[in-house]
Amino acid sequence: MAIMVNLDVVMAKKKIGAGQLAELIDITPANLSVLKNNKAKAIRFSTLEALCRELDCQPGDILEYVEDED
Amino acid sequence: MQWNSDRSLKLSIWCTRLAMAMVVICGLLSNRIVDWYIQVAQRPSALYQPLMITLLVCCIPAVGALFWLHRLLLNIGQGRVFIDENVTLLRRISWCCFLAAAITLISSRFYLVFLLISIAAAFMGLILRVVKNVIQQAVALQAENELTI
Repeated sequence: MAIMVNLDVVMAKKKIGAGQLAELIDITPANLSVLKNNKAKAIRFSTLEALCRELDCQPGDILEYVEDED
Repeated sequence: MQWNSDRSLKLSIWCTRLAMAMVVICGLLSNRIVDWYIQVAQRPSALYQPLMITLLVCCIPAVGALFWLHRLLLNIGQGRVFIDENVTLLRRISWCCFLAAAITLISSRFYLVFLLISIAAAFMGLILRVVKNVIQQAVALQAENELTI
């Protein structure tokens, strides 16, 4: 995958649990898990905005572009 | 009585079951049906064998198509519309239509009316393939939508 979601790293830095974050940004824990495990195909601006607001970070802290090996 | 999609679906399911029963009965009573048709339509008795074979062989794709249509309708009833299984079912039903079209096309050598049935079956198969392609696209769109967080 070219875009990596480093949500678990940011969450660990801010010491916030998945259930609490899911509640704060108003998405289901299952959907947050999809996002955390890099299974998501897209992320809405509204979700990204909520994540940045609650985690007090920039989109670049959560998303990272990684060069494909092949 | 208020008509809604749920009742419409139930009606479709029961019509499919009825059609399936009629195909089975047609298969079992094929000799009587062909006898009756030859008498009523005043056709030569030499047509008996081609008509009989065509009717019996066409029962196979007909039962297959109706069985898979029944499963498709049950899936829709359970709210599972845009799934890979329905794409497979539509593909199978369309192939059944093409098979029936091929059988009746061969039979049209003996009885020209079968040519019209062949064209109708092939057209139905073609429409079903288009619907199958649309559902296939919808399945992909739904998967993407579900994975958009």
